[in-house]
Amino acid sequence: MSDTTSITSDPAKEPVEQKALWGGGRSPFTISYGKFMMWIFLLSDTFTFSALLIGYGFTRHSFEGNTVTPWPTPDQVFNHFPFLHGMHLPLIFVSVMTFILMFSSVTMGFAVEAGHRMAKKEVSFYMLLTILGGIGFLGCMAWEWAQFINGTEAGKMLADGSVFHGANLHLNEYGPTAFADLFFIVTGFHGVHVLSGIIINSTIYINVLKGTYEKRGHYEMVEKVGLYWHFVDLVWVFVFTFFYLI
Amino acid sequence: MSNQHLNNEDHNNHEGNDQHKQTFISKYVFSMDHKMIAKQFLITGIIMGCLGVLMSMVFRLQLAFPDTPFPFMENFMGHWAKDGRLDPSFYLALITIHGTIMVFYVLTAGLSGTFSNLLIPLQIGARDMASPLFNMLSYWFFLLSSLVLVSSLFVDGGPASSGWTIYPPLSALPTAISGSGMGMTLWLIAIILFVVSSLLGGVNYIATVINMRTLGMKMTRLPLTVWSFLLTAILGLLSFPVLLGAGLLLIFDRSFGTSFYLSDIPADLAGGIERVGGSPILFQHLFWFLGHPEVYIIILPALGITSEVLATNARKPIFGYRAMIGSMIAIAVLSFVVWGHHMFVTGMNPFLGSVFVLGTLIIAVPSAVKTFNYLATLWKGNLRLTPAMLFAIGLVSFFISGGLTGLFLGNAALDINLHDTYFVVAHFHIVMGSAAIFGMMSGIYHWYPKMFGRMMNSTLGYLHFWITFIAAYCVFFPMHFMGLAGVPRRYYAITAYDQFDVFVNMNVFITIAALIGGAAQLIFLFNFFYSIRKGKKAEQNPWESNTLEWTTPVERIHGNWPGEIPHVYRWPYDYSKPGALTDFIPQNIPDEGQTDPLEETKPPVHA
Amino acid sequence: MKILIQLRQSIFLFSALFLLSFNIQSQSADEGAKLFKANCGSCHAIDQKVVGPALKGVHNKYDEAWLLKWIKNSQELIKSGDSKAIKAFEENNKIVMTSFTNLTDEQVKLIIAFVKSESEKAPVAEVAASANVENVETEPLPSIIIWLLVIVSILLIAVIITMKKVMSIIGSAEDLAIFNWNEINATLLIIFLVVGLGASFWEFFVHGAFTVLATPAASEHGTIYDSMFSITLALTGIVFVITQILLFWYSYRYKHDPKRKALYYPDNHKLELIWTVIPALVLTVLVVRGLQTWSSITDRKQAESAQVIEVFGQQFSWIVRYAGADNKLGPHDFRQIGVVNTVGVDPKSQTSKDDIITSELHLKLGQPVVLKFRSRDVIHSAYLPHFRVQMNVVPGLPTQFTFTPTVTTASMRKTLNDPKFDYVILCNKICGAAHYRMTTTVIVESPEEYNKWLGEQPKLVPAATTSEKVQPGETKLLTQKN
Repeated sequence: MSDTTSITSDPAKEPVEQKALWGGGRSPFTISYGKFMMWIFLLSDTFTFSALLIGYGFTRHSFEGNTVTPWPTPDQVFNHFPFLHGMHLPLIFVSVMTFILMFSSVTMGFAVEAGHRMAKKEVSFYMLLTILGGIGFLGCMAWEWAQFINGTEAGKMLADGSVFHGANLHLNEYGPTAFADLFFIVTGFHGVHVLSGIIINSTIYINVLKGTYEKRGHYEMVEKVGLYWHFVDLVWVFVFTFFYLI
Repeated sequence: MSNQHLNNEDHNNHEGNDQHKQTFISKYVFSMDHKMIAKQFLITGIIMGCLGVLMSMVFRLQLAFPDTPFPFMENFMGHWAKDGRLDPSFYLALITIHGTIMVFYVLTAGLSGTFSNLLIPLQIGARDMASPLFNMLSYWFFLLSSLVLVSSLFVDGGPASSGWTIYPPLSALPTAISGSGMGMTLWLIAIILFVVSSLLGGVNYIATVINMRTLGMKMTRLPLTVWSFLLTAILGLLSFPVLLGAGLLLIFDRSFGTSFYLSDIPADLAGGIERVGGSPILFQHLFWFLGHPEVYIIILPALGITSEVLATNARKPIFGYRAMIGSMIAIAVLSFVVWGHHMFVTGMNPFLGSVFVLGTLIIAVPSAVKTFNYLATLWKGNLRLTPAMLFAIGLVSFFISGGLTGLFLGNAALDINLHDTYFVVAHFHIVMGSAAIFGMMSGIYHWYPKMFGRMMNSTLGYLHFWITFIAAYCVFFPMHFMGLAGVPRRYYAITAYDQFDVFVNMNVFITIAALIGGAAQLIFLFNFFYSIRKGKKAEQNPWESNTLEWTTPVERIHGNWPGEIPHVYRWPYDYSKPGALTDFIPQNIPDEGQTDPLEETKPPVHA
Repeated sequence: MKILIQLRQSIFLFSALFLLSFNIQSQSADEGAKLFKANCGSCHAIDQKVVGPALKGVHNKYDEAWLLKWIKNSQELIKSGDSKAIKAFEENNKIVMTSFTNLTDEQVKLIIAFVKSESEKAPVAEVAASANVENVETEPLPSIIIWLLVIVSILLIAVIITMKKVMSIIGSAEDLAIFNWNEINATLLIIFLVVGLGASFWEFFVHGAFTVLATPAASEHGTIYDSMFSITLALTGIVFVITQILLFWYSYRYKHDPKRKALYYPDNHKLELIWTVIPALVLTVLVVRGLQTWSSITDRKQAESAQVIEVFGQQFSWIVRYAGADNKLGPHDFRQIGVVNTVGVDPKSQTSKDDIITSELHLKLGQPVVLKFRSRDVIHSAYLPHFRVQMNVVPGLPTQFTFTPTVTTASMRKTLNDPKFDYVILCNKICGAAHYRMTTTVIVESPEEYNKWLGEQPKLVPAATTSEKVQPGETKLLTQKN
């Protein structure tokens, strides 16, 4: 069978003419279809998150200049830290969370690199760290939500004289309803992605331990889920920036 | 050591036709063969289309004969048509589901789903899609979505009834209209499933076209059908997620008390929770960010099919192949920046409106180029007026008519008096409900031999074409004038206003034409299903076409080609090439002495 | 003499009171009719089901106390478990009847009285033109026509198939095609072109006369609108005719001929450039002219000196609030809608005291007016086609449209030769079951007529009179909750 390229050498290293690159019979990006599909899926997922973040921007912008129900300043809301009750530590905790997620992205990168060298033990080690990092992030997020939902001692005075503490989908003590709604939905949607990433990573981790990829001869699957994990991390950067910093 | 294995190894390292043992279930039901999946999409699309057409017959009867009871309606719709009179809120439910079915289930899944699946691997020289598993899942999500939508017809409050555009607060407040209860929830679930199906498909189509072309199939040798499917898939990939986001927020507003799209709604209208701070206009922006590319997702494959059918049947190259590709790319890109033209009268900042006017009218340029290229393709051709060809010519006629009315609507100032009137209804039914459907019909007639190994009856095809073509113009052309007289759309009846009495007869005329047109589809349905078993057996290349799908055996095998996949030596439009012995040269035939597929073929030899 | 004078005075007083009582009675009947039209007419008629059930005899079917509760808040009554309410709800496909918490008991009673008097009238042979009631035709039954069409279609198909079979048998026997479909189709295409173009032209002239563009626009900006329209029509019309002719002509002229070879003509860059540039130029004209028109229509500055009128949309009626002498609308709160009054205007505020709430939109000829839109529940759209005005009415997002009416109702009636013509506001954004009946009348009149009419409408807070002492802070409105 002579039609296509059964590669014996790394195609990325071969200089290929432009004409031949797109001339059919090979992938022009020198990429397998599976990885390519992951890239385009991530592109589409970007748009889903963009829709939510644009909704956030649109809504928040409509509160510009509103002195009756102003949009709260994030560092007044997210200023707590586990075990340090009562201390005003604006955005410290969310920074820790972010660091954990980013660290897990780094370990994921190491896993991929080790996969290039077919180093099974290292791949499994780094993947484990990544999974733990993901679980840690989710745990932190859960704590953050709990804090948010339970609220502060001060609470908010309602029209009927009672005091409301914390937040739910239709009322919150921090500011307008939309603030809590968007917080839950955007971080929640992201959290679902982190969760699915953890599940997928765990599955692949088990496969690594079983030696599936040794048999296959390559660790491309680790790369593919790595891409997904990096994406999840990148989205978090944007969420963190828009929600907490700006 | 290879750590990058290319798909070609995976799929192409077996000869075609190595029949894994196939049971009925694995061959016809849970098939992973793209050709079977294409037929699954087609048949499901046709069935949904029949449902959509039936609904339109019912509400057209209501519009033409607003005070006449129709007892048969009560038989079908029960309490929604008590004493044979259609309930006004169920009328709105019918138009909503009609619109949803036609836009998504017929013209998106039924058109792109069918033909992308059928033609992409065949025309680029691949054994199957990049991921047959995702392909199969794409169909099953589509089927599930259809079933959920159909189930919404039977719920207590009726199906969704706020228009296929489901603007909140009407769609968000269950008390505002009966369909905004469970019916709307099911609609949203159906759409989410549909988006998943679409994304699974789109990801596959793009990966396949980019990665799996056979040797010699450069991007500039792709048939225009494949280009259109590629661009359509990219559009879908980038725009459907935004609908997903929009729908997600709507689900929360409906069921969890949030206020993304709601503002100044007192608690008693909103399930006991006061809603403040949101914006209904946010929904419209997010919705139309999908909604506009969606209509190009619908028309681009139809245009691609037309290019192919016109060229093959005119025995001439498509005129301006590169300009056609460029126009499609321009249309695809521009389609992302014009969504606001659906929102000119929302009270948006006029400057923003101006930006959208500019984009919208610019899109007319590539559309015009395509039309002129079609005309130039016909000029001095040798036209075989097959049913597919007639439908393609019909498409061009509708594309001209409907496209030109778009210039009125795209102009914000003119839109003031035209928005949400029958003028808009006429416009989109001509471009989508006529042009795009004709593209689908053209594709079905043309590629039927490839799908089923038999020919459809052409006499019935001619009959189907003529009745449908005339009926479609009779139905939709007069509607422009109704719109210009100020008749709004989505009205159960126009008899409440004396000034619209002049249109009573027109409504009757339109309905009768619609009934005839609807009935004519029975001819098509009969022809389609009858010919599967009893149609004349097809030859391998009945249309004497150049593209690769016609080099596969008639009986269709798994893996498409027995033996090796052909290499490609030329573009697909060498029809009536001077100096050639035949009036068509398939893509896999090299010039004399041409050994390298990537080498250009010789220019035409003029006598 | 004194006694005579006294007698005269008392007779006068008595007659006045007597006449007044009649006046009040007929005023009440008028009032009842007005209230019905403004609140109930969009969904109900007396003699037939419209959106909601026919109301004939409803005063007999349910007692007044029940009706008061039902009309003011039907959903609450249903939730409380009232069996009659639940039955009524389910009989009508569970379509929610909007609540009317703003109506006083007296007002509801007036409505019921109106329904009673209408029910007792003899069955109307002809249609009441003013109450938004549709033509009642008891004539059946084009159902037969439909069944006939179905049967005919099936027969047609059967005939054609049989014919085809016969033909092919004969054809194969004689080895020639009976029909040259190529010729037939090509000919049909040309016939279609001629008939189609002819029909389009015919329609343009005949149906074109029914459009609002057939008469001059009733507003100042309407003239530039119409001019933009005409330019677009001319340009697109030319393209339409030329391209359709070319399409069908080529399809006919170049139909298949086995002796002819098609021309291998893959491209012509000059030609392609021409037909890219020319459409671009044409579109530039449309864009430039269009944006000019758009910015002049949407110019915010016009609103600064315009008369302010609020148009409030709700399921399923329009309520109009005039700003009064101060040209300022009183502040409103959506939570007070249906509580202090129908539109939630704070009656205590200085600027609301001269506000006038009614259901008809009256406009002064030649006076720029800015309509400010607000919605109670869902998105509606105020569409006034004769004025070339349309604007979405969105809850939580105030919108507005400024224009100057230039043609009085009387004048338009003459132009259209229709003495019963009235301008209307049409709801133009799907808003629920009675979307197609959500309307109100618009009247353009001279300044004198306008001022006279406006003077007769009750203000939100009327001036104190001797007959009706109004306490400070008390309000007496057209629409006041007890």
